Amino acid sequence: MTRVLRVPEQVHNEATQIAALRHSQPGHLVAEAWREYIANHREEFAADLEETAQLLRDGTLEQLAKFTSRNASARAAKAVERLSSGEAGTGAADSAEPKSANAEQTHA
Amino acid sequence: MDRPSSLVGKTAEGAYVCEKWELRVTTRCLDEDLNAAGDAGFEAISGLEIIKAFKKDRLTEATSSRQVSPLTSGREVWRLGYGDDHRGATLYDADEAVIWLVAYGRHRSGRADDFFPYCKQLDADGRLLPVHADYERMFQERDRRFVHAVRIEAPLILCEARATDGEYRCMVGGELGAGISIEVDDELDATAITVAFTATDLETVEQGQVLLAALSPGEWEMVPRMPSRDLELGEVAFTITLVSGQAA
Repeated sequence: MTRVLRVPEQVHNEATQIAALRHSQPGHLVAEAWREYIANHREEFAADLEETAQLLRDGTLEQLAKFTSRNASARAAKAVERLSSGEAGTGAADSAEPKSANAEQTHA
Repeated sequence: MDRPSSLVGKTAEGAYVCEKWELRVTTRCLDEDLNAAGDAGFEAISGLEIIKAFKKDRLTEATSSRQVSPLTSGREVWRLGYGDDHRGATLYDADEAVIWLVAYGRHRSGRADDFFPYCKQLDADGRLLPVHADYERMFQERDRRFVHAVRIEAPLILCEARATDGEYRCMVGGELGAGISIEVDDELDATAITVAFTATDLETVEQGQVLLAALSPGEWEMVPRMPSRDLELGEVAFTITLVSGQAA
């Protein structure tokens, strides 16, 4: 399964150029960079995972949900920014397949 | 992305869950147009005529045949109607799989208090579209639904994965696509669980953490591939090995 990923136009252009030099696809390059990001932040990921496990074991559903929502404000800010800038799909043409389109990468 | 079938056609806090999206009402619309509390649940407003039309007309169609236009913001906002009188405006956010009721009023053709000039004025004032608090509440409610679902689904997912020859693919909590592979080493009396999920944003990373922790509370190690395949675009994979007696 693939999903639409919106990136700034400059990032898209650079990713396209680098991918071409490496005989790859921009989408593959972004996926590789993402995996590298998670690998480079594995200590933070592990700490969050440990906290999640502890809340699953000893906490309430509300505490676990609150921890899972720790970035809800940042996610909301991104959603509003997308909507305000006109990047969000809002029309009839988008009706068929929300949030799971089969394109590797689009740009703003 | 399809919602869990157990939730489709039901209200869940501020949402009415449809198969491919959820219906929500902005705080401003709740407060100023529907005279409801800004944090009202969907159930509390379900008796209103415009909400009945919202549920009926946006159940399977994200838009209608006519827009409220022209709008200063340039956004596509779609007309919703009930009878001769009740009018609403909806906005479809395909990326977040949500349809917002952003305004409601009465149709008074030619009069100053007609719905359509009111709606256009709201947009011109920058008050029509959903705001940060609307989305934040939506994400918090979705997270609550997700963690509730994962606590129930995780043991079943493990059972299904154990019974599956090869990789078991599933949609966790109706939100997170995941593949689970379980390999048992009888000689070492050990079981390796490997999980891959598509993580393209903060939301899915956090959901993935909940899934991993629910499957096993131990230390997961990031791996570059699933046992039987390379990772797909945007996927990350983690594995954990449990020796006999450890919980999974």
